[in-house]
Amino acid sequence: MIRKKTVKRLSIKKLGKQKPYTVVESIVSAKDTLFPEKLKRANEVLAKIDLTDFINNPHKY
Amino acid sequence: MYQTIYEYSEVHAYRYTFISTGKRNIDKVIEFIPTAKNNVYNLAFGDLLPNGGIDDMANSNNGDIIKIFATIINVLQKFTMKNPSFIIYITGSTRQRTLLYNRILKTYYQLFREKFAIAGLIKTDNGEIYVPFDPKSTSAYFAFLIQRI
Repeated sequence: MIRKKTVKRLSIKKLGKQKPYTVVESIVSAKDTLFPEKLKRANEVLAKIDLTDFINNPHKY
Repeated sequence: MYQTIYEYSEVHAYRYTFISTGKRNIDKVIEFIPTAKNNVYNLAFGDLLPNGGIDDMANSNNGDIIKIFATIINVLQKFTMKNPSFIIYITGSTRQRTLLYNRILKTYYQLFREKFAIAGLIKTDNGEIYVPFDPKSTSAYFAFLIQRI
């Protein structure tokens, strides 16, 4: 005897009654800063200076 | 520095939040943003607005500036302890705030110098340069570089 496969049916009406929700995208990313303007200004300044001495001779500072 | 600090949350490795509970409650965020220079991170600080935006110009006058800066310094120490090779670039969003950072560095210089190399950035006729931070100097530093030693 072939058994009839039962599947759960989803009611469209029921889905429609669900509360609306918002998908919150992860903010856990170092690439997405909350301070884009500040980063832009920092990059402008940092582009003009050579940090070699600060890195190689930290005890001077 | 033995000031009391606000309890803060580490949202992720580069972002921390806390609530300033002065005259009113204000959500604050501290972020270390990777710059275009390898291992150089920009320290950014501001008010988290109800709409999810940021106000880094705000002068909230919440009556707790010392506690707020003690919290930022604590976060800075924690972050640089975890990432000792990172260089932190600090500048204020406004001239007044940069002056305030300067004042804090001057006040706590003896404590900072034991743990950090500190340079101040100044403007000269030949462009922007950095020099060893001098607490007695009257130079108008417009930014600072800090690294664990």
